[in-house]
Parts: sequence; C-alpha cells; structure tokens
Amino acid sequence: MSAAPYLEAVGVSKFYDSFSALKDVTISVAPGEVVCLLGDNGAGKSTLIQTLNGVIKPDEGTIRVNGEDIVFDGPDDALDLGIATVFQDLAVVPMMPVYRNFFLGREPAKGRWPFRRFDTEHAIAATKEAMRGMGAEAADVMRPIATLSGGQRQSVAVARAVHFGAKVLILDEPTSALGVRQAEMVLNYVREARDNGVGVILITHNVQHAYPVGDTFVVLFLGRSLGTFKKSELTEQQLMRLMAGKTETLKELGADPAV
Amino acid sequence: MPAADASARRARGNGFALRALFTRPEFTAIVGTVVVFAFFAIFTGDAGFLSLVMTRNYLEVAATIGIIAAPITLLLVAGEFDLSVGSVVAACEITLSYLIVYAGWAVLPAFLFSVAVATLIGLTNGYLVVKTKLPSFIITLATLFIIRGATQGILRMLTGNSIIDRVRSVSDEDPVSLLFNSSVGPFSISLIWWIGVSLLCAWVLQRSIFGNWIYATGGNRAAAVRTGIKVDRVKIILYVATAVSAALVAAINVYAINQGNANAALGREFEVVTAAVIGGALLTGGYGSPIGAFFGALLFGMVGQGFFFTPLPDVWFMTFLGGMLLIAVVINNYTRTLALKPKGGRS
Repeated sequence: MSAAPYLEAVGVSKFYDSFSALKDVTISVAPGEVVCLLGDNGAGKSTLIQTLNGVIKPDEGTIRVNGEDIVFDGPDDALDLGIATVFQDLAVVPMMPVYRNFFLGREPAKGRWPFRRFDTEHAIAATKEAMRGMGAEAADVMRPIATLSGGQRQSVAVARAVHFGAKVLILDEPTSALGVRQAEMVLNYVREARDNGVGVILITHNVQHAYPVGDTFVVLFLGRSLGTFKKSELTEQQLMRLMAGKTETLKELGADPAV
Repeated sequence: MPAADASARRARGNGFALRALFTRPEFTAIVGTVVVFAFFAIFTGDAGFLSLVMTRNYLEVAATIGIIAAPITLLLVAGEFDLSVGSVVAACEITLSYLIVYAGWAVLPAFLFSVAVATLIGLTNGYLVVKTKLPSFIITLATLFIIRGATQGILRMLTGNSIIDRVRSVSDEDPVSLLFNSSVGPFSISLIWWIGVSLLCAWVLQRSIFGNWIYATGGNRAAAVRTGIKVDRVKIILYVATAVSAALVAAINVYAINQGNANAALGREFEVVTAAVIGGALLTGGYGSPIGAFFGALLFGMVGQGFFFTPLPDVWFMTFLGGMLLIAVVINNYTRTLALKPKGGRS
C-alpha cells in the first residue's frame, strides 16, 4: 500500500499484573487496505483492537491517527475520528425492524417541531440500498432483524458503519460463526468497503477467510507479533503455520525470528 | 397501521399479508374485542348490552383504564413497570378536589397543580429505578404503598376524612371543568381523551425518533447505550408520562362521581397492565402497541359491564377476566414467536 496509514499502533504493550497480554506490537492500516489480524485464542487480538478503538489504553507505545499521536479517552473518541468497531454481538435490537436498527441512535428526522419525526421513507430507502447484494428481498428491511441470517446481520452491521462514515472498520471475528456462503457474503461487504477507501482491520483465526481478502497480515502469538507480511510475501500454508506458532516458518520467509 | 407495512404487504402478496397481519402486536386484542362484543351482543343484547346507555357506560370505564394503559405500554416497551398508577390517581384526585373545594382554586390551576404532583411522583419513580437499578416492580410497589398511605394520611390531617364531596357542584360554573365533565354526542368526553392519548402514544412509538429509543431501550439496553441513546432519560420521561396520564384520569373520575377519594383506583395498576398485555405488550420489554392497549382497555370495559347481563353470578367476573388474560398472553406469545422466526431454508 502506498497510501499513508490512517490508524497505527506503534510498539504497544499491555500488562495485567505480571502477565503481558501484548508486548511491543505494531500494526497499521491505510485507506483502502485490508489488514488481517490473526492469532489463536489468547494471542492478544482482542487486547490489541481494544487499544485501537479506545476501550483500553496501552501501557507502553503510542496510537497514531493520521500520523499524529493520540490518547483515546474512550470508544467515543475513536468513533469521532471514524474508527468504528463491529462487535461480535453486533449492537442490534433483535425485535426491531432492520431499517430501525440501521439508524439506531442516529435517526434521520423530517418535519418541524412538534411534528418532527423519524424519516421512515428515507431510512427504508437507504437501508435497502445498503443491503443490496445481501440476498435479502426489499421487504426484508421491514422485518425484525432477528429474522435475518447471521451473515446478513453481520453485513448490515458492516454496511451501517460504512454508511455513517467509518474511515477504519474494525471487525471482530465477523465470520467465525458462519457457513461458507454466509462468510463469503460478509467478506464481499468487506471488499466493497475497501473499494470505497475504508481501511479494514479484520480479526480472525480463520486463515481460509483471511487470505483471499487480506492485503497485509499481522500474526500474533502469545501477545507478541510474529511480523507483518504482504500477501505477496507468503502463502496460505505459511500463514497457517505461523498462526500455529511454528516460528521456523519465519526463517523460511527470510524474516528475522526476533521472538 | 403504518404505511410502510402496507407497502410491504403489497410487495409480498397474500401469504405475507396474512402473516404480517397475524403477527402484529395488536392482533389478539382486536380479534378479542370483536369476539367479546359479538358474544355479549348475541347473548345479552336483549337485556340491554347494545343500548346507548350501556355503550356509554363501558366506554367510560374503558377510557379510565385506556388513558393510562397507552403510556404504560410505552413504559413496558422500554422494559420497565409501574405499579404505582392507582395510588397516583388517588393522590391527584385528592390534590385536585382539595384545591377546588377547600382552597377555592379555579379548576385550571388546581388541575395543573395535580399534574405537577404527578410529574414529581413520576420523576421520583424514574429516578429511583435508574439509579438503584433494582427491578421497577419492587421500586413502584414501594411507591404504591408510600403514595397511597401519604394520600390517606395527609387528607386525614387536613379534613379528618378520606373523601372530598361536591367537587362538581362547587366548580361546574368553571368552563375548564368541561374538559373533564361534558358529553360529545352521546358519549362522555373521556372517550375523546382516551382516543387522543392512544393516538399520541402510538405516534410517539411508531413515528417519532424518541419511539426508536423506547424500542431500543427495552429491546437491547446494551446496544442502545452503545449507540449513544440516553436510556435513563428515556425511562424517566416515560415514568412522568405515565404519572401525568394518571392525573388526567383523576380529574375525569372526580367529575364523574362528584367526589375525590383517597381510596380511589385501588387495583387500577393491574387493570392497566392487563389492558397493555392483552394489547400485545411484552413485560420483558421491546415489544408492544398503544393501539393494542386501546383495544385491551375496550375489551376490559366491555367484559366488566357485559358480564352483569349474563346469568353467571357477578362474583365470577375475576375468573373470567383471568382466563381471558391467559388466553390473550398465550396467543400473543405464539404470534410473536412467529414474527421473530427466521425464514426457513433461505440465506
């Protein structure tokens, strides 16, 4: 990627008591780039993204947005700078129609007080537009979001973040609970976001999902980074072996096995 | 019925139309109202159920339930409960009656003062619920007792009695009293209030932005908070709205029977919740309909009045009511499960 990174974590560490959940990890994402953050359970993926979206503060190292050092006081600070996180539990209200969920907390209004009201027509039209390619019928936007499939719900959440101007999208295991077709649908939404110039950090432990969509791969193992790799630098097999902590793969890649 | 739903139905053809109708929260209450009306009309029509007097009667009963059932439905959708409404009615009856009869106030300031008392109670209920994070059932059970006792105690101190008579006689020259005590065509003005409050609440829930926040607050509190909705404020506002509706019912009651009573509206809290639940509201939040509550209250009023025309001794009324509530809840639960069921086999 030639573009300058929008969001960076440089040399961040996070300690819990004597245990280091993260040690000197560096990651960055540029507009239009998909960075896959891979690692087994307990590798520190969640801790790292929480430093990026303002949920926790790193004990060492810095977070940079657009090249400037920054300290997030909370997730709202990150959100204000266009860093949106799509959580595994999606932050949706199951019984509410899809279009009402899409605009939850940011409802479009029309009319003047006291007749100021939810702009239903606009909300429905915009949601339909965003749901194109989801294999959903137009009328589905009026149904409770609980009636959509897991992949559709995840796609709605991604589309919602993009619609509200996310510059960086952090996706936490978006495909972990999904079947092949459903996962493919979500990944298509990720590609679409990327094509629209959004930087994406995709957290996953599924190499088959990550490799086709990713531009850059960061592998965490026991809280440390095994390195940052361009897609051209390694194969899917090598990536898989790295994730399993087989550090001899690093020599194979000509990287410095500094861990 | 919202236009959006109508267009959705056109788009999906008849099968979808039927299901959409069937799975609306107010479906059970509307069908129940039709069934109960037909039942009483057929079996007790000759005895006078269909007469204008009787119709006026049950609409009046239904109105005093329905005016509170509409805002309490919004509160239920937001995931909270209010048991104190009956006590608030009594407190406002006494406030209004005392100010008019003993203090010589005009009706408008006396009514506004009772609304202020209700607002204060609503704020207290709401504030206690959001600050303590205890179940609102317990909090408002406590305020039910506190308000009822305080109403009786204060009135005893002031007048040595538990009722205030002649409210209407003292104030029927005051034009403002017509707001609570007049007829519109053959019906009591309470019918207009009831329809107005129900439509307003339905509009707020379905059409306003605040309505979206109400749904989210009760449907998934964590999601609502995460998207920046001030859930505590939503709840407090709804507690105030519920208490204010009780003040309106108090004024209507006082003029209907020419008396303010510290023991008024005992058990009203259960009647309004019954109406709201028959109308499709879910006690766990996130689901409900003020229009459904309207029909729930209408059903309540009809059964209450019509029952006395049946050959059954009137002591069986409660049993009948309980059975009806049970049937309604089971049907509502079933239709809601249907509404939330993912579409089979298609991704």
